[in-house]
Amino acid sequence: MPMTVADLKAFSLRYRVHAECIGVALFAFVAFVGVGVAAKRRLAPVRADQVSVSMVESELSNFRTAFKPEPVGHDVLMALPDSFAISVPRANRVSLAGDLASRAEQVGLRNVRVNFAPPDSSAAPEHPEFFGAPVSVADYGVAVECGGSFAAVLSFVDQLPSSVALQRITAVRDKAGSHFLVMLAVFESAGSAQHG
Amino acid sequence: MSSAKRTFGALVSHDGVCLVEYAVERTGIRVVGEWSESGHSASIGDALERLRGLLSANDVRGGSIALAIDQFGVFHHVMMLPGANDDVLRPVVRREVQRVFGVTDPAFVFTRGGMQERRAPGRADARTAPRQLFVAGASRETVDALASAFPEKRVYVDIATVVPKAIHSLYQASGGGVEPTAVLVCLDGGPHLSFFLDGRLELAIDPPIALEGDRPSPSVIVDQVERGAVYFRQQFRGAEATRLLLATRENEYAELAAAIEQRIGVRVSPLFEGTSSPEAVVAMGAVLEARNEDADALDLYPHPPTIADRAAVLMRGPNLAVSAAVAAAVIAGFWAFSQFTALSTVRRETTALRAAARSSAQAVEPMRQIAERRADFTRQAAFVEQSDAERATLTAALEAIAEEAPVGVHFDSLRVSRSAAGWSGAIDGQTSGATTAQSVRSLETFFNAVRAKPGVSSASLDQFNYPSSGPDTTHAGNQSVGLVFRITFEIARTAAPAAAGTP
Repeated sequence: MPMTVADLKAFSLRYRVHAECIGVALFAFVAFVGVGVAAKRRLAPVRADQVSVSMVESELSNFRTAFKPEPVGHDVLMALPDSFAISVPRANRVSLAGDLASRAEQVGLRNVRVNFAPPDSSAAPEHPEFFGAPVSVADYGVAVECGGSFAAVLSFVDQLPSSVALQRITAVRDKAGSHFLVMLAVFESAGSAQHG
Repeated sequence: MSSAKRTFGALVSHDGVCLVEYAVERTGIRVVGEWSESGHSASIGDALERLRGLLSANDVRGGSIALAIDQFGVFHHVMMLPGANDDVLRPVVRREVQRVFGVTDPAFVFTRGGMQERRAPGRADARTAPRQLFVAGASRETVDALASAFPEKRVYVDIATVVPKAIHSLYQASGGGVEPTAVLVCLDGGPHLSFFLDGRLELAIDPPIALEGDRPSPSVIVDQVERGAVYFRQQFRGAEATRLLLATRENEYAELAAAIEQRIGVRVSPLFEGTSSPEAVVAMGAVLEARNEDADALDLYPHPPTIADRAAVLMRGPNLAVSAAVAAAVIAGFWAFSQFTALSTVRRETTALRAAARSSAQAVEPMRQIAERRADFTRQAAFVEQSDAERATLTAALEAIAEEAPVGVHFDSLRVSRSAAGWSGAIDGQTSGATTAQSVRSLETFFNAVRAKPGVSSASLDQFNYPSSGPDTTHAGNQSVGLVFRITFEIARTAAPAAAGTP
């Protein structure tokens, strides 16, 4: 038989101490459940945090275990020569232009003219990601205009330094001969632009 | 005799205290010793003090005792009520006790005896059938005195029962039987007379108050028995006791038994042989009552409630709701505590782990820098290698395209630009031949060659037209037929590796 409010009232009047005890117990129940639920809710993210910290610790531990120190003097060997540099400081861009002109002339191209130009509209080259000095594509490009043979141009492209990326080759032939335009993107160390 | 677990029975009355020590053996109970102290006790406290004195005199340091209480306001009653639970019967019994004995606030207990179902078999119901109730009661002071009888707790009180119930147990122990039987126990305080019918205790008659103080003579006792027999006959439809079990002093037994047999005409036999006094017999009756496993003992002693009793109280009536609410709160409390404990533990562990990770990170920092330098070196080398491969692929493709141009095909322009997937190229040029067919064939040969180059894809001939300025005289002479064309194509970023088994 369902209990009505009147029944509850009668019960509480008849068994006052019992009713007070029940009230206190129910209040404690609600309070404990509330506190428990709050703790349980906080527990989930704390556990997730613990797992992630534990994974970090585990990775660090694995890293320490797997790491093999370099032999003495190996540091000196672990560097590529300057000709393999894959970025050019903005301050050295004129040197880069000179280097490109020199390389073009060495492969037999004539009337070589090297200019700085806005970045080419074609797709930007992929630049490498490094832990040390981040590398990005410079906000300028290099345009190499020249004349000569197509084979010489291809040879020039083959010998481009790693710090530039080929963006475009345009070859036009007219009655005066063949003219070429080679557009290059430049990789520079990130953060060097403001100093340029 | 200083064993820690000695067992006793005792009769405590106004006129003396009797202590019996017994031993339980495989064949039954054996009386080990009897001690008694005669003399009037002013109160039950005095009587219990004398009992303690007897125990001390016998160097009793521990054990158990079953008490039979006579007088001191202790009363008994036999009722017949329909079967019901204790909660229903208790108020009924209380009112009856108040009415019969005139006690306002009695301490009483009751146990159930035999059932008397007088209804037709079709309507019989063991749950509601009338049952005998043996009621024993006393004043609160008497019960309190009993409770404090052995404050040192070295002697455990098994039971404190009334004399008629002890006699009942003695009767049952003697074999009982359905024969109408009278039991007469002649104590110093007077004769206790009980009548049994069909094995049930139907009538228990206390000594007349007038006899208290003097040991009654055999003739007085016989009168008492005769009056009791008449009352028994009147109350129980002419029932007559045909035998009488007698417990009295040895020196009185023969005379009393002969007088009873002569006056009333019943067979007289001893009630409980092996003891020297009727007081000891009653004491052993208390022992038997305590050891009776077939029925609940009629016990006035206020035993502290057992855990089961306390649990039963908590699970009854409004206490049940309180118990349930408290249990729920306690469970919730434990659960909340466990959650908090877990939270605090995990936090503490996480903090320790984080500190360890921070320490490890500091320790591996030089290693990390070396590892990063190694990784940068590797990436740098890979990038250089990739750039070289990319350029080599492009230049090789363009060189191959240029070499594939047959005689009569000339390029006017070449445009190659970087695309998302590789390189997009477009060649504008002219082809010439002696005839249109030769020109077209030259173009087709070149186009097919371009299309077949490894790494070249999506080659298409976007423009194919005759120049409006007339035949080209520059390359093919005056009679040649010229065509202008545009071929577009895609070159992969790097050459795909040759498939295994490719011819």
